Amino acid sequence: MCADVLTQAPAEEQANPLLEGLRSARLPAPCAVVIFGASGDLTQRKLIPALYALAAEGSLPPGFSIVGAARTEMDDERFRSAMRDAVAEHSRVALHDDVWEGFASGLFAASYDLDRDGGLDALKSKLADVDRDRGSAGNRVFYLSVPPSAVVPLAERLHQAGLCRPEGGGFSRVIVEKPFGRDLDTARELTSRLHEFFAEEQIYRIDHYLGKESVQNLLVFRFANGIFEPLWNRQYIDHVQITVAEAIGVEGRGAYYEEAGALRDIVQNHIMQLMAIVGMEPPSNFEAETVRDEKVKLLRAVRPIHPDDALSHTVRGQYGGGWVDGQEAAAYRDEKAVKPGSLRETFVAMKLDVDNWRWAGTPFYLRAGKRLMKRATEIAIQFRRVPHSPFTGHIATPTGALPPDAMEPNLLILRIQPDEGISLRFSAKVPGQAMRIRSVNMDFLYGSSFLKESPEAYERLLLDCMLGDATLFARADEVEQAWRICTAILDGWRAHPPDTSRFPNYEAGTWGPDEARAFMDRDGRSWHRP
Amino acid sequence: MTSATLPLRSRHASGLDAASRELHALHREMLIASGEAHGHVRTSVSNLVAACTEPDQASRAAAALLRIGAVHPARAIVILARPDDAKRMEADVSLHGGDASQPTIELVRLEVGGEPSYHLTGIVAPLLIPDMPVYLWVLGAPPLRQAFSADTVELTERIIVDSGAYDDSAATLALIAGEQHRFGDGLHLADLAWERTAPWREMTAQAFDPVGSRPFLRDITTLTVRCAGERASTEAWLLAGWMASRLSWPASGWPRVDVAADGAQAEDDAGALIEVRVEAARDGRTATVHGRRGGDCLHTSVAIEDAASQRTVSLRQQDDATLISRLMADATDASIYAAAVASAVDLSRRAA
Ligand SMILES: NC(=O)c1ccc[n+]([C@@H]2O[C@H](COP(=O)([O-])OP(=O)(O)OC[C@H]3O[C@@H](n4cnc5c(N)ncnc54)[C@H](OP(=O)(O)O)[C@@H]3O)[C@@H](O)[C@H]2O)c1
Repeated sequence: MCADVLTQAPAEEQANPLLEGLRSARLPAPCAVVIFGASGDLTQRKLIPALYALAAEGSLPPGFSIVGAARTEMDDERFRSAMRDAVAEHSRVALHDDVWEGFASGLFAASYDLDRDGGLDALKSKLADVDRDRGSAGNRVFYLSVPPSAVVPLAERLHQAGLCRPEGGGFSRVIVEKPFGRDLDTARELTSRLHEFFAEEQIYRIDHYLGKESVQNLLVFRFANGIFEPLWNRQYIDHVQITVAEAIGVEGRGAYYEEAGALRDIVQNHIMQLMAIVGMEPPSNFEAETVRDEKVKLLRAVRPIHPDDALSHTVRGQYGGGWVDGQEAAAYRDEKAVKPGSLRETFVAMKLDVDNWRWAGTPFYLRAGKRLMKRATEIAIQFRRVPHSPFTGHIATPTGALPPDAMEPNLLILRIQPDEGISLRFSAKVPGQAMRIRSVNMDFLYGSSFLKESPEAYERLLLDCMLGDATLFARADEVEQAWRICTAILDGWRAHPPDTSRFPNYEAGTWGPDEARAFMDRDGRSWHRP
Repeated sequence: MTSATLPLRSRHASGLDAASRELHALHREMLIASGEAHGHVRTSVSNLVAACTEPDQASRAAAALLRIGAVHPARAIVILARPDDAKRMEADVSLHGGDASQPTIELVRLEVGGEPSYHLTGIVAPLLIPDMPVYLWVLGAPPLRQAFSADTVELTERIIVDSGAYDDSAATLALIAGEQHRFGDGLHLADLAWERTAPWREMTAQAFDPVGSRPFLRDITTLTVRCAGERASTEAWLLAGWMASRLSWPASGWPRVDVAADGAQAEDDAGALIEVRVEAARDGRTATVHGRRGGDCLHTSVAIEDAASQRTVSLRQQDDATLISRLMADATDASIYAAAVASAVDLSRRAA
């Protein structure tokens, strides 16, 4: 019905002048989000609470629906009741009976079977019902919240069921969760298999880091402030450090972590994305392809670490027992489902060089680890020292004067989490007759400046996908470039496994192994302490 | 919010110079208290000025500005102007919010008596943080016209009024339309009553947004707007004016516009929108969008021929502080508001 009214309508009748000037101009077309793995942890903790928050705030259209797909038998009522509990427990937005009623009326369950032809028939007929009753017009988002091994079989079944290709002008998109492969070859294989069923524009690879307000703010910081960009290069920046430190251990996911490790779990995706955003050239506009083109260019310019150099350019670590946040923490090897003699890295540090005009000679030091002293994600931009100090001998320290090169260089810290904010360290004169200089930190905390609650990363990303905006999703070539860098390291590590007797090599609740400190000392630099 | 309300430190001063000095002194005290090594940063995004003529308005304004300051770090200045009192200028200055090392709000409460009350711009100017936008909130000062002196318009980034706070909505809207005409683009007005209609405007715009529904926007037959209370409110007229102006409805004839109050005695929410219905017919097909307030939710139903869909969203908080923070964070298009006011004036005249 709707479609033929539209085809008869001249162009000016397809406009909606009412939307102009409204804050909520970003409203997706009515659609159905199908969540595979609806009984899983991610669905309950993140996806449904995020969709509920969007609904409560009026960011979803009337007729929006969710179909929870599971291999196990599940009816609408049971699904609604389980999701209500999930929202009550995990949503940022309080559960409100009236809002829930409206939201729940668009929640449906469908079971499916991956192992037989026609195993998606029940789901397909449920979607047809939803389209008819709720006006979703064939628009679909498939969220594959299932283990990696189930991703390709599911995509194939969707294809066989004719659900990958949008019908009647609607859209069909698929959201794929990390990990995107285990190395370069498997990532390429995954991409090429997915491309058999979906065009790249239909695939949304989710990295929840990109949905964080603080990460988006990095783009604003870099490209909406004229004062930093002229300094953002090898001439003024000595080096960049990116740290993703976690205080938690493997939290019962020992089996997964034994397969993954810190490099795959954090560096290949989150840290590489942060590095791309910090290092990329200014995009000419904020469209998905333009931004992602710039990110890929940066990743392409990263010099791969030759497997033979892996040991000198990286540090691996694994935590032993210790104390974190005042609690005793078990060693990694004592975690559930971890092999007693495991050599899996829970800490990694590395130095990467970027071979382009902007960054040549300015290294990026990256580190990620579990059971470190505190949870902190931040980017430290260390500027070069002043070329000459006229204040020799006038630097105030508790012990007296120091040589000029001890005057601390400027440091800009972009804190992603927790306590999102920006600090700038600079030198100032200590009041008094003498010329005494001291470093002061100027801290800007978003938390105490904008108390507005930030949306959860998944809210932003789900909404973007429904709107067809892929800017904050990883494209196939980004993923591939990140794997190119990480796979070279993995190859090097495989060729030179760590000495079993040297693992674990750091105590839980510290900043990682001593080798990480020595690694920086060698370059005459030191890790910033978050 | 309560932590922002209690001052971290406060002082009293007589006269403008003294008020500025005391503000500096407070910052210095905080710096000393927090330890020099810790540093001390003031972040601010704006100057918030509230002009009041009654003490209870001034208290209400101070409470609201403290809440706004928690979201938009600011210097807040509340002026209580008492032209009929003896000449005086007394200030209470205080720091609020954040923590000791980073207060987010500086509050100056200024009581001005006598002749200087007529020269508020000159009083405010020396107290403002330089190069930061100035938002002037005029609270119920009758006549509203005071807000629109050329000096004030020149000094401020935005003048915030509440067109719904006056008894005669038609006259208030006409006055605003007149001032907008007089100053043109130079007047940046924000209206809390307009802000309160935002969820309803969003609801209506979104309901017609699916491509299949958009053509119906050209064929609306009836718009019905209901508000709480005994008289059709400014908000109700603004909503109707917005539809009429966005959709370029002719000055007479269709669609039928029916704006009225529900007639019930309303305690707190007189004037608030409670129901909006839009009916359209095109080529023998019909579309109806119906929004209804129920408690703190807005229930919407959209029926296009035989397909119907519903949704319920939380109605956002509508108190002054929340509305002002929202419009500071996100400026809506002034020309859309101006056109809505002009159409609202026409529609209300036609109805009279
Ligand atoms: N949880 C997180 O915080 C998190 C963070 C980042 C990324 N991820 C990724 O998100 C995805 C889902 O995470 P999760 O923690 O929710 O996983 P999960 O709880 O282990 O599994 C999700 C659901 O997938 C279904 N499933 C399990 N094995 C399957 C198989 N062989 N074939 C088809 N379906 C299968 C199960 O549902 P039914 O039996 O009902 O069909 C299960 O409830 C994973 O790819 C994970 O790597 C999760």
